[in-house]
Amino acid sequence: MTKIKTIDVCAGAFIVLIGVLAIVESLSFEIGTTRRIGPGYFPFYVGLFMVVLGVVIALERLWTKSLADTEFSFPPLRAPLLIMAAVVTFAVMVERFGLIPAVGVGVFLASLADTNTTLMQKLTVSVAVPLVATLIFKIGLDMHVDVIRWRP
Amino acid sequence: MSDFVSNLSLGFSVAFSWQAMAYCFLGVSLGTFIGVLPGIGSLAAIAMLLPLTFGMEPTHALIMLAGIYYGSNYGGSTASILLNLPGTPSSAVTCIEGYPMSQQGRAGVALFMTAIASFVGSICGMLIMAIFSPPIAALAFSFSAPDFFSLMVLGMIAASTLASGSPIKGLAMIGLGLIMGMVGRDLYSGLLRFSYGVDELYEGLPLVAVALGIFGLPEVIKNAGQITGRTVKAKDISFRSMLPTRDDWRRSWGAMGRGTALGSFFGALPGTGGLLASFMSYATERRLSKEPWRFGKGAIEGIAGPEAANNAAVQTAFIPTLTLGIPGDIVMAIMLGALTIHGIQPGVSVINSHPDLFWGLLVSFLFGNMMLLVLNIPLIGLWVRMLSIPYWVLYPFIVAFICIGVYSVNSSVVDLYVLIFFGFLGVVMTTLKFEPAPLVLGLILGPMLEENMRRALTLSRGDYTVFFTRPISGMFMAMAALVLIWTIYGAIKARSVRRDHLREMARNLPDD
Amino acid sequence: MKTLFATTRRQLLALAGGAAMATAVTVPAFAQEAYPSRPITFVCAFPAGSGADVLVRYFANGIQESTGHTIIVENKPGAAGSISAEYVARSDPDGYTVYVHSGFSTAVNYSLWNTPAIDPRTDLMGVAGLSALAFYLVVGVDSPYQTIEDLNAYLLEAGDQATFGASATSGRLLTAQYLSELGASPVEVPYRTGAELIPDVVNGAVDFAVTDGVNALVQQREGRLRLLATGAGTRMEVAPDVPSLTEFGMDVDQVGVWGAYVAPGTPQEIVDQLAAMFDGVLATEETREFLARAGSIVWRATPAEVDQQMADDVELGAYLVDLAGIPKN
Repeated sequence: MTKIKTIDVCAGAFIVLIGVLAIVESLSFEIGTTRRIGPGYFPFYVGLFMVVLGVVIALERLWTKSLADTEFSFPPLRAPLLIMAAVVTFAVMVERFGLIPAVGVGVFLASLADTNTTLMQKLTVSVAVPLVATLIFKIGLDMHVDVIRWRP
Repeated sequence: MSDFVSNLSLGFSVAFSWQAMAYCFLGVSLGTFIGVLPGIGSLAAIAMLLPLTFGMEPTHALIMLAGIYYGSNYGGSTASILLNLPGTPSSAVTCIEGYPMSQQGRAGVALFMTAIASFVGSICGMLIMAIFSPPIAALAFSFSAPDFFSLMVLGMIAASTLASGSPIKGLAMIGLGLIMGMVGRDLYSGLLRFSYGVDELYEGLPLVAVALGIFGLPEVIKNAGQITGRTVKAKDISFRSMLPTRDDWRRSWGAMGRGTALGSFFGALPGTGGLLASFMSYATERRLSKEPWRFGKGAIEGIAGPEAANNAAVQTAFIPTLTLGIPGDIVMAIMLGALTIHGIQPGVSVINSHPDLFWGLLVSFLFGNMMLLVLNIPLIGLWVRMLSIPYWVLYPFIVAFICIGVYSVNSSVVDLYVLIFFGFLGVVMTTLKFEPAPLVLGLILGPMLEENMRRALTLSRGDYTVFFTRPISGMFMAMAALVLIWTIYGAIKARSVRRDHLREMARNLPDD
Repeated sequence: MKTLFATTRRQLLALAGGAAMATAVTVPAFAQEAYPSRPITFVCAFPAGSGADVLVRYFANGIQESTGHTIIVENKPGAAGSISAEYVARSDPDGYTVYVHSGFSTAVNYSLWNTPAIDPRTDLMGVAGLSALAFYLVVGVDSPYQTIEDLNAYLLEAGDQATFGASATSGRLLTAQYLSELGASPVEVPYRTGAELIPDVVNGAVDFAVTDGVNALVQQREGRLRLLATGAGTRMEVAPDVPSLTEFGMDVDQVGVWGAYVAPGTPQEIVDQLAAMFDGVLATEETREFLARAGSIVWRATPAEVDQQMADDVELGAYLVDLAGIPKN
């Protein structure tokens, strides 16, 4: 059974999981009749379809020889966590403190994802990006957002 | 015919006025510049610039809006090719081949070909609109729920092979898109599905946030800290390096022709718009290609076809909008709004009661597209130079612009959380080698697929055969079956070739 | 009636007209200063460029021109208007945040949720009436049914073999009442927008449809639809030839009113000042014509009348939602 690869099993499991989620959600709605299909019909069958597809994906290599040999590796966590943290920061701050603080803090967090730059470089972009963004979106495009505000 | 000539000359007289030209130019250039900002696509651009047109005379307002629309479409493709950032769902197709080309240092060629393909698609779409407007308007009335359903099925089956890996994984991504498309209110019952208590999801997932989440964020995450220097050296950008080779041209002409035909057809159908057209065009090119393995790795015909299709669809989408009052897509709905702001009721009467508006707009498309070409070819070098900015400077801008772009759409913080969710999903998908493009298609077509299926069955009183017995629907179903057989046949053939190849290799290698 | 036409999906961007949170909330209100001392924000629950947005902007521009005050339109689409209604209800009661929206839709929304975000009777204060829009029962021009009586006879005979199309909650509510008065039970086919419904009623896929005044009147003018009856209690000024269902002995009176609303607790003199601004625009012939193009009529009403209408509509809405069997979320 060496033909079954971790990546296929993970990919298959991911699709099965989503299918199961859809089926679970569909159970709280009616399936309906053929003439009047209920809100549960589509999620249920698409979910079922996903479960089948997930199993096929996990085992596909058993009969399809043309698949490329792909190695599975966990991506490093630093960049995803910091970039996501930057977006969360923007989301949390923009309506409370305005565009400049939200972009500035967000960008600083994002800039930490690159370990090859100096602190000075990180701070420089954290100042430059909010200024450019303000110039383009607030002054140039008259976007209706506060540049700076205080409403925690 | 003489009517056609006199109509066109009326159009020329309107569009040739210096104000009309100025507004057209303003629209096209503003659209391009905003569309090219990472994370901002034609949807965001047109909404941001819409208020500018409120005070204008209706013809000029529409000319400018249309200019913004196709200008930002073009600009959006630029961001997709250079940075893998689709500002609108239909640019997601451009990313598939455009971004790999960019990574191979052929961004200039990709942009050049995009400009040409857009131009060709637009001009052909415009001519079709001028000549066939009445019959195309009638087309909308002959389409009913079963036909739409079968059309969606065909589109999805064709698109499942978009994934460069296994078609099964492509289907799974369409399925995931369908499930995501069910988020929000169910039209039939009025009940919220998959909303998990978030009322903001009532009207469904925000498309721009989804597209940027699954394409844009994973790309930034992958590259941040990994690309230390510049991706392109400024001195490498010469005008010569932007020109497509003879080989590129040879591959692209046919693709553009087929794309234009597909786009003109799909654009005229209410509700499908350019997205389905670009996906179908991409799938067609990939299938027709003698070297399908080049796809996903920077095949130029995979840009030329969909770009021509998208732009042709943009033009023909004006037909149901202007003549029937039925907007072909979201942007067309905004155009319709702009018409009523100026007190013009859409309908067949627009052509009769406002011939200057209709024909003037049409001719302005011609000028606008020429301006776009003239404006953009010299600018390609500038856009490509964007890649010569060190990545540590570039990516914080991208992150910020994605956030602002998503937020600007609905002024909604919830949209930003959707962005984060899809960013994570995108990372998971990249790790597991799933292609995101079919997901976008499933997400957009999903609600239409479900609604039309339910509608068709209600109208047919529960009779499933309606999908096969109605002529239009039956034709699409037959085409879908053909595509499916073709795919399976292709897979078996590839397998036997591969098996011979493996057998050959096995002689030299002791073990697998 | 929430949308005058076209799509209302929230992806239709809202940025344009402007989310002017900026000016609306950052500056603290100075009680001493004369109202208005800074721009007034009109909140629109639909995306920029949509039919509803056009209406809001018409009043914004009208007031801006006649009074010289700056009016900003802020689009806050989502959850069928619940998001913007709640936003206005929770805003500072200073008269600078005005909700310009369908009062009927706001009232019905209260009955569509298990836990409504606001009670429009207490959480919003009426300022002015604006317009009234009716829904119509329509068939394609090629349909065999010439009058509402023809349709009634067919529906009673065909039972559940008959079908009808409806778009928007208001359309569903009107058909629910019409059909319950008639005692017929055709099968409903929902559509996302009024525009999407037109081809199917024109080519006869559905036997009849219920759609809003904008859509119905445009398509009638284009020679595609026949208007059999209006759901308003009396004939509408914009379509005097179309009989009201009441003329056939049916107790149906559904008119979607639009109004302007502010947060509760707004000082009476500010409400009166705002009401006067709206009334100045409403009194013009231009407004009458503008609304007629949108299939609507002018509805001039005092703040008290607007509040009364809201209370009535909440009650009617609850009854109709129950009648139509629309489940709550």
